[in-house]
Amino acid sequence: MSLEDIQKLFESLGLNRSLVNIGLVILETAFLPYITTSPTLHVYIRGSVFIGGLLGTYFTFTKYAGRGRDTCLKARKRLVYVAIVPLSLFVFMIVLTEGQLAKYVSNLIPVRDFFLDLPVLSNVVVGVTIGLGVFLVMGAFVLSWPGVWDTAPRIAPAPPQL
Amino acid sequence: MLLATWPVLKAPSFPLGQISLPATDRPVSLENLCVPRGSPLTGTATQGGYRFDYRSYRGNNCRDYRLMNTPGQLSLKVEWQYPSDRLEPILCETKLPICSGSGTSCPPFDCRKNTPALTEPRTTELGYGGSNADAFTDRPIAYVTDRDPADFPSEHPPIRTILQGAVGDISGKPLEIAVEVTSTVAANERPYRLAYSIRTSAKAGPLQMWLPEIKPTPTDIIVRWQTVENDAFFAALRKQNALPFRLSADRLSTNVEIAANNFEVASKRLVVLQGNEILASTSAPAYLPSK
Repeated sequence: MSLEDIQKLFESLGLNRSLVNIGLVILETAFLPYITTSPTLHVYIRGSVFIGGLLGTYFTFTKYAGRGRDTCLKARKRLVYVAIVPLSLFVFMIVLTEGQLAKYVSNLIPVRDFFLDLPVLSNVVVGVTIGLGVFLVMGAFVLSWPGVWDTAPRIAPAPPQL
Repeated sequence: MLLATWPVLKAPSFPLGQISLPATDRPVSLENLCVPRGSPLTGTATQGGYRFDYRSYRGNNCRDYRLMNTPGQLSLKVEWQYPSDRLEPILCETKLPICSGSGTSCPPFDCRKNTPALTEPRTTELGYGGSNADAFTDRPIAYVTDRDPADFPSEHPPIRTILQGAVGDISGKPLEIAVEVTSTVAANERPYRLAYSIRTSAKAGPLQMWLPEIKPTPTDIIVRWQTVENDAFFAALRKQNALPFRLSADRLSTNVEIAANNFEVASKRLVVLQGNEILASTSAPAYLPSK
């Protein structure tokens, strides 16, 4: 069963894409924080994933809805590639500050100590990177819906020409 | 895990300099502040690939919390707490320095308090790892108190807190610090004289008292006794000491006195900072004028 079939199934069951998008954001918010065991980072990650997920869905939909299959799929590909950067940085930050990476790559010791000494900056970097990553991933997810390719966004009718 | 393997609390390897406190509130020497009684409670934290030792000692009316990294380990933020103690919830917080793999032991860091421990040890919280020192949590048993500020003895004993040992500086390397703060009631009837003494070790290098107007450079080492930070304390500090209150090799102690009609015990933290980054801290109660 392809993704398209699943999407058709959802739509045939009356589950519209907004519901699925929101569900996905909730799932991400619930499970992504467990990449770390730090309760403080859990708060930052949950907040960022929630905000990034909703904004990613909203802005991608309003920008690309109704612009056709090719444009949307091209944009989706770009979003996926760009998302690799913040998501990699997010994982790197967690592994660097909580893990033993610097033990094996001694050049990273000063970077690790820099972030250890600045907990607020460290938390913000983690939050921003995962928020941005989820923003882009949710955008790519939205652009996978065939309905979005052909759905023109609702805009106010143009004023009558005199 | 409890291991009774360290019966003797070793004296620190460097002395504090001469002090100039009034004879009535001259503190005992730092080395003898807490002579351990009985076996310490010890353990090793090992989660996340880290490995460091923690020890809780008790002596006659005193407690000592010791943290020590193990060879081959990276620098590590650690926070040891006992939240049930409303007077001194933070037992010891520091960034342990990186410890090279070639040695057999690493320098310890101690947080000492001259408040007595309960007869029975209690379960405490030891957080470590990550920039928030909470990536991993152990629950070791330690000697603690569980007092409320209102429970403090009516005979007003001096309250003394010490941070001493090797901490990780902004690059994670060992930096020796030693700071002792003492709060005493210097008169037995009104108006009371509340005296505050702050001493540092010569080996710790130049330390600077925190004041609202100072803007530290990233390498300045600052002592902040947040409990006593109020307008009266700052005014007395400015009046009774020469600027800029540097506690360095040639100026090892500073004393401040405040007159008060009534006083109470309050507790916030004693913090040693490098620039704006915390190197070490612990709860450090003091007598304060009542409002």
